[in-house]
Amino acid sequence: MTLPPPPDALEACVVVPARDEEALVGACIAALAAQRDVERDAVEVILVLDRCTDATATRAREAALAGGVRLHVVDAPADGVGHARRHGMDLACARLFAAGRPHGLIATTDADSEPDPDWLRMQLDAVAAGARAIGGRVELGAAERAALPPAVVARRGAEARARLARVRADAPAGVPAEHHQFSGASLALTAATYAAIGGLEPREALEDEGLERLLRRHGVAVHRLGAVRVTTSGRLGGRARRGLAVDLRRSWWQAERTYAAAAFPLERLLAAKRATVSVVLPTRDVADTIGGVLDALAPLRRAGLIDEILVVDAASRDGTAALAAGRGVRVADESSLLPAYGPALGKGDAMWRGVAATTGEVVAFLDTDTEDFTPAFVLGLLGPLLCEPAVAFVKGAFRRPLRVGDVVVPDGGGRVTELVARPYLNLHVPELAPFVQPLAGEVAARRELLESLPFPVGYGVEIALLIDALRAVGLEGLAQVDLGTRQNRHQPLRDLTAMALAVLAAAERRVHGEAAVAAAAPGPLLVPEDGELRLRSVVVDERPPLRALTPAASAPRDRPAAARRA
Amino acid sequence: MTGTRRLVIVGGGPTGLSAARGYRDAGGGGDVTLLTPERDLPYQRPPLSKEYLRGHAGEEELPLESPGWYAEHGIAVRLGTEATALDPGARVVTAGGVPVPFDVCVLATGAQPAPLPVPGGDDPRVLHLRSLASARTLRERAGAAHRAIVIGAGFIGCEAAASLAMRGVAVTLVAQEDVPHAPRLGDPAGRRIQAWLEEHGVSLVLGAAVEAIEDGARVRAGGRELEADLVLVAGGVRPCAGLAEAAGVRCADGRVVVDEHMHSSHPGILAAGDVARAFNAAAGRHLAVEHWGEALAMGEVAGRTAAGDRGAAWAQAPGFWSTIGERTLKYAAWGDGFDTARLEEDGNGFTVWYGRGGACVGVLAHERDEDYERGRELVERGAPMP
Repeated sequence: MTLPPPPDALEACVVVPARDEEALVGACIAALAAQRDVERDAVEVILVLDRCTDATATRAREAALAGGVRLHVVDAPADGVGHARRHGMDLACARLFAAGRPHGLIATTDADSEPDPDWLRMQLDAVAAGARAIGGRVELGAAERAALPPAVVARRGAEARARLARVRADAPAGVPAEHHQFSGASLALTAATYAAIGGLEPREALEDEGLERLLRRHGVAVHRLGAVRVTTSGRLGGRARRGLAVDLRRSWWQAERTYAAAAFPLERLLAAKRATVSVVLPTRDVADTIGGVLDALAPLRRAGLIDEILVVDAASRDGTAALAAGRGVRVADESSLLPAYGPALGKGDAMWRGVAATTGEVVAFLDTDTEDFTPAFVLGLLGPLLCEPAVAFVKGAFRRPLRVGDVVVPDGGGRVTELVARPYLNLHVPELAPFVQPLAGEVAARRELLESLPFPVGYGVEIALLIDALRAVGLEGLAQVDLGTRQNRHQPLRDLTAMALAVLAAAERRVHGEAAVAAAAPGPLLVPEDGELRLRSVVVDERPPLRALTPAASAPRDRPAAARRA
Repeated sequence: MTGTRRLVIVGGGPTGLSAARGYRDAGGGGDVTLLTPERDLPYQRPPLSKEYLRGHAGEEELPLESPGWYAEHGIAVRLGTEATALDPGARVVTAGGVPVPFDVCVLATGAQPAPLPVPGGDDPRVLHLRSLASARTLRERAGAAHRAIVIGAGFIGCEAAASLAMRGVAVTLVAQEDVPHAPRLGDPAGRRIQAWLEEHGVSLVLGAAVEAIEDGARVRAGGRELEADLVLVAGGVRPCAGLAEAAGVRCADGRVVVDEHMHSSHPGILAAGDVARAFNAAAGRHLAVEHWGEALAMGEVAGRTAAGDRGAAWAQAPGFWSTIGERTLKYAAWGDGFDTARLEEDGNGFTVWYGRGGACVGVLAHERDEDYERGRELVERGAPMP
């Protein structure tokens, strides 16, 4: 595709990537046609079609004709908004050079955004004053803003202020930092600068973040100007706006699905309770703490909040089972449940068998190695499930003070969380980033969901349930409850290696498929020790969804119940 | 924004995906949620009994769309989520324990393999082939197997038997009929398919009803006792209409009755694919079809209907391609019976013409694409037998 030669007067090329935006692109082009104080011949718009299947091009041409702005429509060379924007900016750069204007402006916005009337003038003036890269301000349209819950608006405001503080701290002297943004919806740079940095990196999306890194490497400062402004329709779940959409969803979730245990006093839960509740306690040598946990649960059971308690014991040798039985609680040896599956292979296996051996419509799991257990742990976990029908899965969150000698470090602890789970989730499942303790054993969920999920037999169970629950019911079906402060047993670093491997194997299976862990199965961990390789076994097997224990998925539902009685 | 605001699709097979795509293609701008009990994004099923089972295709070749496609098209996929209740009045589906409200719901729940109704037929060690998960298990077991028994001589049975044989497994195909495929395709075609299977070294035990399966490894059939390392039952499927039936949506013969636009008896509830008994506008009657192409076609009609496209209707003649070993059959037919089957043959391929009351109701072609194309057209027009 060949474009006509650029006009001599060309000062600015505006690049607009578009993916099926027939409803909005007209307003975008009209806004570009209505730019004030710039010569008509000085501006042209390059619309880059990213696999459009609708009338985007037609709508854009109509708007360009009506508004009197020069428009070129080209196809993107590869899938994704990043490739589309890069292609357009490459073309714009070549045209500005061909017109003899290396300091001309390559500006870009999105097809669902409308630039203010002074958008180009302000940026041309900034370039005349020495700016080489400009970040404009991106605001949500009034309708979109009104649709957001007030708490989300407030949170976004707070996040914006925090980012602005960082941007200001980083900005060199004399470079304006009037807001925190630098996004594809409004960014611009001179043709010479674009050529100097070697163009945009070929990325599929989030190409604007890539660009900022690239500029920083080349010592180009981004001028963030408040008066350079576009209005965007940041729809929740919007199309190519992955970054903003995930950001908005997370913000909504933090506002709507994060609770404090104090919000759920016993009376409130008893009034709201419509489902039966089972509490499953996997135990292994916790004679020191199990008594306290059971004593805290007893009043909740008497009050009718908890219908069933089951201790699933891993053949403890310290009398844990006898202690629990002595308090009148049902205790089962983990391997005696679903015996067809052989001896239980770990904590996840115990939880899976615990679900099979109980009947409550809501099931809560609690770690039993907690010294400072309070009834609020259970009240908090059950609260969202009993009070909000749209929630299917609740994860406990707490602060874990880590004792180092006599010093208590406030937010330490959870080394596998901080060094494995959190970075992994941020990389691959960013929607789960707001979970404070993704590996916490304090979990409650609806039975219907739990019976449809596979359970890794070992320490991979927590991250697996979290990722699978997200996939099964969406972020809006997940909740997090702040349970306060707690202390768990801390394990030696060497033991954590095996735990981390189990967590990684379970997560990899979900994110990158079975093949990603095939090499690890059945999970030997090789550790160099004293000059030789020692093998430690890590079992990464998974138990099938309890619902799938029937031979065919269509078989009558009474099978799992029969298995439960076994 | 046009059409439905909240579209919920129950089922992650080809029908469900096609409904989502059809809805967006027709300009549907609402929220789309696709619920699937499977743990995999929608994938291609046809290779599972062929290239995938033979080990010639990997899992990376199976997805129908990349994960990014769903994000870009605003389609929220819920994996591992079985819909357990449908309330047509309140317009809510319950899935994974939570209510999912909708304005329009497309039931695309498909069908499940029917366990063989004999002692041991429901043993978990007896394999079926339908989902990717079941194909993984079959492929894994086949990798370690020397001998396999395949029960059933329909498409899946014949394809899987040939594929297993090509892997070097000694395969015995057990079927109740005297000639494979005969009930659907007639004797002449069946005999040719039988010859292909024998060429691949598949032993055939025909006219033998299975009496029992022991330990998922020994099969008693027609007075004989056969033993193998794996037993695969390909005994047909039954539609998953339980959700609709329990909700009071009109069903017949275990399928949801829908018109050519995929509307069910209830406003806001559509059904398509294997679970539907849909009115075919060209045939002028309701048809139950379990083919891949029809799943896609009906799904698209349902999606377009949900987006407000009143012109979307199902009118094509159903058909499928089946590859047995390296030979491909192409078939287009209403599929609900014939009284005449006439074979034409030349050196390379053959064609079977199916007639009912003098009209052409189907065509089956091997290496004769022009007959297949012409036949499809004759069937759709209701033309006389050629």
